[in-house]
Amino acid sequence: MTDPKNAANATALNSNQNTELPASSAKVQAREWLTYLYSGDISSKKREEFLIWLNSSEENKTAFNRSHEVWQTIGMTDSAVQWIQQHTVTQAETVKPTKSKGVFAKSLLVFGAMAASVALLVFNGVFNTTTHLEIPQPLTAFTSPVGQNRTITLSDGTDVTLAGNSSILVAINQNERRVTLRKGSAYFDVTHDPSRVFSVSAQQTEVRVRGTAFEVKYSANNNLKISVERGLVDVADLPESPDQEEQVLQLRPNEQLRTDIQGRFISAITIFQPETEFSWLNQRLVYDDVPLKNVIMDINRYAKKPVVILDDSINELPITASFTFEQIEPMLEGLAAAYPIALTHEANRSVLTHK
Amino acid sequence: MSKTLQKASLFFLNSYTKPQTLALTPAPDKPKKARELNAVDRLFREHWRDVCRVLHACYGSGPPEPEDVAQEAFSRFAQLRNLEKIDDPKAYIIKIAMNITLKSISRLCKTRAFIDEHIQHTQEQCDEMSPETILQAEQRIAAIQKGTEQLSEKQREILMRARIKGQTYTQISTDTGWSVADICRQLNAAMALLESIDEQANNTCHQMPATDASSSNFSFEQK
Repeated sequence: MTDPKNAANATALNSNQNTELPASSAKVQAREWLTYLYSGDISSKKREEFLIWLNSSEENKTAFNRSHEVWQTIGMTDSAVQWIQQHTVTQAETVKPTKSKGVFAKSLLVFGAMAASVALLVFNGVFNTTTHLEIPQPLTAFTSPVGQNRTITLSDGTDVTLAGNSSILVAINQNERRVTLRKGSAYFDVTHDPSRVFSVSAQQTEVRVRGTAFEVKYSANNNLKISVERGLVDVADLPESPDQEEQVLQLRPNEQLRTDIQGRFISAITIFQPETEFSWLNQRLVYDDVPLKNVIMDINRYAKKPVVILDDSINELPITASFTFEQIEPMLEGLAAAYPIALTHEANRSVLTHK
Repeated sequence: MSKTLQKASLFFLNSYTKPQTLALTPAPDKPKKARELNAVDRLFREHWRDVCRVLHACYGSGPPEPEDVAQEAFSRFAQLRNLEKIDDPKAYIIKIAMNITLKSISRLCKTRAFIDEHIQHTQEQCDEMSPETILQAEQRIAAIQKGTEQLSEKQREILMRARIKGQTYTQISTDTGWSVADICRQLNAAMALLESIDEQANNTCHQMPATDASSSNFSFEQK
């Protein structure tokens, strides 16, 4: 397969030696750099080359800025909406079930697949020098319903408690224990195993331990919060490409760290109160001066109807409260009584607005 | 926080509003606001399922989950001013939802952050929205819209997969069977056409006298 940076972008990527280019060349190069940067296959070296090119003239900067504005504007056109709606129809058509093949044809396929598997096993046994056969580990998904926590014991003995409306993918084999947090919040009490790292990844952040207790949680704006109760935990900012170095911070008990969607550490390591932070494990939510938007995000894991804030002006309202999962309804009524907030119950949701 | 708080059934320690939150925006005209909220509730009931279906088909089951994104999109839509001036609310909500989803794709966020770090935004991007900048933005959207209609089917498909679906060129190649080199060429050609139309529109705009922008409803956050 052709590498994008070696194909159509070749002109732009090799032109940084020439710093005095006519405007039209600058435009062509700007466009090619832009499409390269969004190609999904970029290296640190090329990024540096891009910066050299960008900073080599005002013309280049202007041209790139213009190209980028056009790129951004595409998302606001009706064509984009038409395409995505058309794409929905096309996708639905492509997943229609095909006519079933005859029994004989099916048997042939099954037999063929078995023969190929045996051949692969023999081939691996004879020619492969690794000590074990790499078989892709199937991922197991665990989810919790809205309204309640769910505790699961994984095959290595690790206990996982999922907050309401949360989801993880798990892959455990003889070499590794890997969990992906898809949404919500999960508390892990990890069985100690020095030979296998236990890792939890979410977006571009990875948490690695060998035996400890900690929580990984999605919070507002796609940020993540990692809170350690016991043991030592390494939090890594996963690099975008293999040639970049990852950054790792170590957390100790009662220490907390926040990362953003890109895996960057967006807070210093802070100390937290475990009885407040992990109160959800005992069916209770406790907040001390927490913005309303964060409280509502948690409540939506347990509320019967989703709660939405329809006024930006109340998003940051500091809330201090303590209530059980069963007390969410009276708590919302209490919010409306105690704060400048109006609560409206609609058929499918409850709405909070500024009073 | 004291341990007694953990055992309390339900209460609020401070029912007052902190100084920084006292400066809340004044409550808008209530009947109008109520009418708008009713309209949003009706839109929600009519289009919720469709918006979720579109997001599901394009971006999969998440994360972020299409239902969460749709919820957020409807909320943001409800917070816009002059809702009655938006011609096609469903399309507008889908645009907001697409934007929210793309902002949660880590790879795209990194690229965007890298670009933002190194380019100087033009004055109009840095300024507060004014009637003039709103009008310019609307004219630009109209120009780019016109441009996308002139693209070939293949160019539009590649452009939308890269820009709207957030696919890498390798993913586009896998889905369509076209080579990565061809995808690069087609994308560059598509962008060249859009840029030239944008430039023409920009030149025309600067030659024209300012027109009334009071009917504008552009307030969609693109960043």
